[in-house]
Amino acid sequence: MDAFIEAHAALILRLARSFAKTGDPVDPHDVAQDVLVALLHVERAGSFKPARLQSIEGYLRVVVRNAMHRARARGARSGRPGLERDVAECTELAAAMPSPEDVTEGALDARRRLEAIKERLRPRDAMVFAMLVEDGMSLEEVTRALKTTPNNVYQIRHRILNVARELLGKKGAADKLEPADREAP
Amino acid sequence: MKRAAEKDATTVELHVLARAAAPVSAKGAHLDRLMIERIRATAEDDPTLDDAYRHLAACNACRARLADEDVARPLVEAARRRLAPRRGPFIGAAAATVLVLAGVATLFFRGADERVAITQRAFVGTMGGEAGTLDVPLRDLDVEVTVRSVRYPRGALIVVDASGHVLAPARRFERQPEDQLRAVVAPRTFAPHAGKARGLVVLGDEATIARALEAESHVEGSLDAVELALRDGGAYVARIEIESDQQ
Repeated sequence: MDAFIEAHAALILRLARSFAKTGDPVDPHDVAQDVLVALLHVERAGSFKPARLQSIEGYLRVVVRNAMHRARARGARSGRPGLERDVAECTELAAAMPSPEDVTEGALDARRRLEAIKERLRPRDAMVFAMLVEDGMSLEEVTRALKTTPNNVYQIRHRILNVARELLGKKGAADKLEPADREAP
Repeated sequence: MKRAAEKDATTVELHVLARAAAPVSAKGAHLDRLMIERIRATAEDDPTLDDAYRHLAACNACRARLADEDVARPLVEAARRRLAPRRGPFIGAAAATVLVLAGVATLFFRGADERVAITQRAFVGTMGGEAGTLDVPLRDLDVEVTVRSVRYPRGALIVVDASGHVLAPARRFERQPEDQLRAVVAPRTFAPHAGKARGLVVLGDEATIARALEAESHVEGSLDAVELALRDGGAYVARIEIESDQQ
């Protein structure tokens, strides 16, 4: 039960944090929880079909961003949650978002190039590639998430850049990197 | 310096590609919690985890769990509690006590009925020239909704359609003898709406009902959303179908 929520709660929280601004009066954890309540409600109603969405992250991004806007607008007036609007939006957006058939050729080509790089990497390096490049995490964040050393993540990043340069047409450049060029881990 | 700039150009190009790329669909089921924990606990490359690494490389939801599941899990639990019916702060201890006392109480208070009983009755109203005769069309009958509840002293009836749109101004129940609350609605006034009309019977104390009526005036969304908003305000809510021939 609630399998979708179990799998995507952390992603929702990450998106809420990404929309929070410095000094924001709205706590991203509160916004994430509002969205979770709304999605739980929609999921239990049985009307939510995530498989029909082109991108679950794209869908959640819009839902979370709008919930954040509403929370900001509501914050100064009262603490009453606007769940009814969140629930309605989750349902409406699910119907309105693009389906998998709507992907453009350019987007598919970019995806193919990224996947080609990942294919060439060791499995663990491919995972770190996704964290650094697709999720935009910093070296420190990856180090914390994997409970490893900064040096280990730095070495993986070096291997990633070698493969990327080779496949993106800049072969050999990474091999010439001097220690002084390296970013501090 | 030139090489450093070249390195940055590669990083930038990768990020540009990532922003433009079509979403990727992870193959197979999401990783379970134990596997996430195992990956966290394995600081170096481990070939036995290659399938899990490949899944993570393709699944942004599992990657987010890898970084934040410990923070996200309490939020899910809190969200579940918010959806559950309202309960008091001492529910854990009280539940056991209530179970023991319930049988005893039944012996001494057999007449006390804490359950909410809702009944409907269609009858001829006092409006129109046909009032009082047996020839009144069914659609012109009024519908009386009666609630019997010891626990809830106040109530209101909100009439909505299947999509949650309010069809008529909310009506407060009138207090009647023997713990009864009574409200009357006239289905003919729901026009131009045609089809089934639903009623949300909202019960609680005076403050709860006042809040619910205030919320009802600017509720948007589905019937589920309306009901959720009312429950979130602390009210007991029961859904009924208004019995009229407009269905």
